[in-house]
Amino acid sequence: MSTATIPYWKILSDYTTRRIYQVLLPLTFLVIAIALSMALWYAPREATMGDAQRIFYFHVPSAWIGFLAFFIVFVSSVLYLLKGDRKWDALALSSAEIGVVFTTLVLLTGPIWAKAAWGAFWVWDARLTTTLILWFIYVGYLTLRSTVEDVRKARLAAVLGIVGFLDVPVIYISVTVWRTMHPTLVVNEPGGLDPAMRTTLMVALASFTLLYSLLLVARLRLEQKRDWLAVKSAQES
Amino acid sequence: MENLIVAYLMIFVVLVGYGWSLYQRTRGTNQALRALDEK
Repeated sequence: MSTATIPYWKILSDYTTRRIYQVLLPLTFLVIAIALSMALWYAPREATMGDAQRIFYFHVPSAWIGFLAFFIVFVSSVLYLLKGDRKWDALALSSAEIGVVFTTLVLLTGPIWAKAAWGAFWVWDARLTTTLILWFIYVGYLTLRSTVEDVRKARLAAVLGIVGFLDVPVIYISVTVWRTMHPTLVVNEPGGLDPAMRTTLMVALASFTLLYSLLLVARLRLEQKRDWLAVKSAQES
Repeated sequence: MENLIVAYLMIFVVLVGYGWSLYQRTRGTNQALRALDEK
C-alpha cells in the first residue's frame, strides 16, 4: 500500500464530510423529486412514442454522468501515472465504480425505450454496441481492482482507465459517422427539443450530477478509510 | 405506460442497491477500524 498521508483528500475529513452530507443529501433528493415530477407531469406527452419517451429524461442524464465519471477516471489516471500519488488512484477507482452504475442504467433503460420505439429490445447499432463495449471495459477495470492491491496493478488499471475513455468520443460521434437507429439529441436548434422537455432534461441532469457528487464523496471516503484500516492493521501486526 | 414504470423502477432499484452496498461497505470498514482502536 503506497499511502503517504491519510486522509490524502483533506477535504474529506470527518468534519467536512459531515457538512458536505448535510448540504448535498437533502439537496440531491429535492432536485431528484423535482426532476421526477417534471418528467411525469410537466413535460408534454410525445406524439409518436407516448409515455415511453419519458424514459429519455433519466436515460440521457445517466449517459452524460457515465461519460463524466469516466472522464474523471481518465484525468485521475493520467495524474496517478505522472505523480504516483495514491489519492488520484483512489479518485479514479471511485469514479469508475459510479460510472459503471450509471452506464448500467443506460443499458437497462435504453432497451425498454427501444422496445417501445423500434419494436426490439436490442439492435447491434453503433451507439448501443460502443456503449456496451464501454461498460465491459470499466467492468474489467473494476474486476482488475477487486483482486489483491499492489502498485503495479494500480498502474495497469490506470492505463486501462485512460485507454477505455477513448471509447467515449467514439460513442459520441457514432450517430453521425455510422448509419444508426439511435436518435441524435437536438437541443438548441429550430425543430429540436420542446422547451418544456429541454427544461425537464436539464433539471434531471442537475439531479444526477448532484447524485454523482454525493456518491463520489461517499465512495472516496470509503477508499480512504480502507487505506487507513490497512495502515493501522499493518501497524498492529 | 408499463415501459415507463419498469424503466423508472429499474433506475430506483439500481441506485438504491448501489447506495445500500456503499453504506454496508462503509459500515463494515468503520466497525473494523473501531475494533482495532479498542484492541
